[in-house]
Amino acid sequence: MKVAIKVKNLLKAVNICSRLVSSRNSLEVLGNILIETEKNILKLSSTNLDLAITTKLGAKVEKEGKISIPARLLSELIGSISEDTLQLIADDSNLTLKGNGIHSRINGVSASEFPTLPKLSNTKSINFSSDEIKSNFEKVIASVSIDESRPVLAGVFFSIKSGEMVLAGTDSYRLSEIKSKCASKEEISCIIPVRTISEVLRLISTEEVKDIEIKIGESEISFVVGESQLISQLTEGKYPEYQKIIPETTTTTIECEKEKLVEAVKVSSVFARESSHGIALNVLKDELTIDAQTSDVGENTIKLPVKKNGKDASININAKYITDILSVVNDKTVVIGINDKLDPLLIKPKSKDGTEIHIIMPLRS
Amino acid sequence: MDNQLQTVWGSVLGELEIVLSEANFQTWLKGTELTGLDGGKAIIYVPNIFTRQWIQDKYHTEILDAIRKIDPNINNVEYTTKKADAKGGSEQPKSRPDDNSIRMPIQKARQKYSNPNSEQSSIESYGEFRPNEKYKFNNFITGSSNKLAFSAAQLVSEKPGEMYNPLFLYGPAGVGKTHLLWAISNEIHARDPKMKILYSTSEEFINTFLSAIRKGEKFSNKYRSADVLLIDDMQFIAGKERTQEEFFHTFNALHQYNKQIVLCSDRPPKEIPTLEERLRSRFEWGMVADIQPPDFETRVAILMNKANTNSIDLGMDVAEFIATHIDNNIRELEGALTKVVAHSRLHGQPIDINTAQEVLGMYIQKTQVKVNAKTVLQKTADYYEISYNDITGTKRSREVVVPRQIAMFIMREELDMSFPRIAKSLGGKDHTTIMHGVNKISTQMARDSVMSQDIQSIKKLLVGQ
Repeated sequence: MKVAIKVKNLLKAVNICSRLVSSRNSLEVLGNILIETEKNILKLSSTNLDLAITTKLGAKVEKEGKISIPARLLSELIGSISEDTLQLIADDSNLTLKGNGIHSRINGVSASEFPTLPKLSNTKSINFSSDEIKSNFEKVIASVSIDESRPVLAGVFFSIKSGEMVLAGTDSYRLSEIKSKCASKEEISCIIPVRTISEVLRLISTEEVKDIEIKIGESEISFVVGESQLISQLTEGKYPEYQKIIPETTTTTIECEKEKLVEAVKVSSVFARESSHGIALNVLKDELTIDAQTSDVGENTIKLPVKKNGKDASININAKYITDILSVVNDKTVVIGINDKLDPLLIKPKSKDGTEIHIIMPLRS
Repeated sequence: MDNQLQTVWGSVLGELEIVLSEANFQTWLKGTELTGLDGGKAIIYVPNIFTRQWIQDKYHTEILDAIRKIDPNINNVEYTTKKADAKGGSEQPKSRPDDNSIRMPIQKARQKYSNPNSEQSSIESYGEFRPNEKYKFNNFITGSSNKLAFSAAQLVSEKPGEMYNPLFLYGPAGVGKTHLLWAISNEIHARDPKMKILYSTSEEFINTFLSAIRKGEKFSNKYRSADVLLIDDMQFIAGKERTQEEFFHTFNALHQYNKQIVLCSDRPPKEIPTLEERLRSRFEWGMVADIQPPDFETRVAILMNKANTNSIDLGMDVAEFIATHIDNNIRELEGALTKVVAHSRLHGQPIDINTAQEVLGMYIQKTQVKVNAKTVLQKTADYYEISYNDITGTKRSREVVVPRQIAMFIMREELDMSFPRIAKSLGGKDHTTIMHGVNKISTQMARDSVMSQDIQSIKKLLVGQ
């Protein structure tokens, strides 16, 4: 292999790939980045066997070839040199980097040892605006479980049916669901691991592209974001039938200013020190009272005006869950729906007309 | 995994292990399984798509050759990331051997953080039946003490709403009422997952009802929409008139549509005090079956079964020893076994009679705290809310005489006191009075389960001091 390349392009590609590489591998080659030529471009890939990333960059290819190089070494080296362009020369086991003043040789591992990236079979392909998919993903991952012992809940439910896309995330104590129109005629229902989504979100911010393409196969998914492509396994299993817990109507519905509510919950959480972070929401006439107390800390009451429909109500809830959700809700006014003390609490942005809803299960005390 | 498949795959892996480097073998082949060997095709489960691709590209020929050495008819190998017949729809964590060890502590820490307080209710349990895997029919040990209840429960679970409706089970604490209730729920759920099963304690029922009243709402028809309603500890409904009224309507609504109702209590319907007559008669409509404390053989069988399911090497002699010393309550029985096992593990001793004696020695002593005549009299008086002077005095009214005789009975039974000594402790009565009293209680107790419950409760008070 013999290639000439801009250092800043190479650095960006190496940074994208290094994120997946862990040094704790029993198999040495998994700590490496695969560098290969493909006609007139250079391709870098890395994998942790849950995910794989491939990114392409323009280069002047004089001689084709490929090699795998330790990721950390490569990113440290490229990150510290001040050359403008570099020449990469590789045989089966070494990579030589030549610049104006620099000349380094890195021991690599033959590319044939590097895992072949899975080929997607029977794929369905859909295009999305990257802004939209990014904001939707960010909203649902707030509720996704971080506990990996139940892979199904550590994933985002993704479905497309009759022109509607549904995304949902839950850790079984709270739930977020976003619906949006989708031009695609495909029918899809799958669970995407949340770690994959986080990587996609990072890729979207790095690549700054308007559209992304999602390809879904039988048990794998791929995101094409600009020059990069991410491949991941889909989570096997059945997503909980969460739809039935979303209340159709609520006996108490209040509207309030989001910022005021955020502030009130924040103040209350100072006093919600127990492990449940419990605070009590009491709706009385046109006022929402939030009470919080911890026996060895003290107690607090805070009131804010609300617009109420229905009857008075009260419910105990984990303050942290509310703050998490309010931090992703993007609206001046939020609507909160309450039924019984033990029924799910509903939070939605007023302007979204039910296409974005969040549910929190109450505390039983 | 099928044993034969496991053997085949074991020998294939054995061959590959020699050819491949340790790291390669660990990364790519750990966690793979042979899940099918049929019609000339071998199906191999691989934990993820990356492994699938790699094995397909790199080791396919080796694997095919190795399998063909064992079964020459195989000419194709398929790799899949789906465990087709795995239980519960392959909701299995992907196992990658090497970083599991690293992930575990992180996972634990995460769980700690993400697993909220017990007060937090969860989406999955909301309004939905969740099978309690622990309690099934096949791990319920039957004996003469519970045969009737067991068969009735089985019939009910096979044909809910058709056979015995309602089924009313009663018996003292820790004999398996709740076990049967859950077993019925599980069985019905397994047969038809669409059945709406509602398991509740009467306390929950009362609370739901009260909170509805307090808020001036209509009582939610959550209970009335059930296909199968199971209520534990029904005796607590006694005395709660409005709850009884509401339950009466719920009961009628369900019964009318042949929805199965199963109720549990610590005593039969006719002995639940202040239970409305119309409810009492309804409870007796179907089948009333009692569960008595297990007899010795059943107790031994329970211990052996528990040991078996937990792979504990329990000798018959030890099981018999424990069963002799712990009677009438299965919870205590299983607790005693757990203690013996824990003790033997902790001290590296075998599970034998000596260990059991050592452990249960403490246990038995603990349940038999020193009780003297005075405490018996005091506790009995307290229990019946009369004064100490009344119980030891000479008043002949019924409210005083019965407790007095019960105290005599307990002193005789538990403290093994002679009749004259009991007489002395009661302020110098004649010892024949005592004999009469003790006899009266022991005959009446057999007929009157309220009284026997009372006596049990007083005994508990004595121990609990």
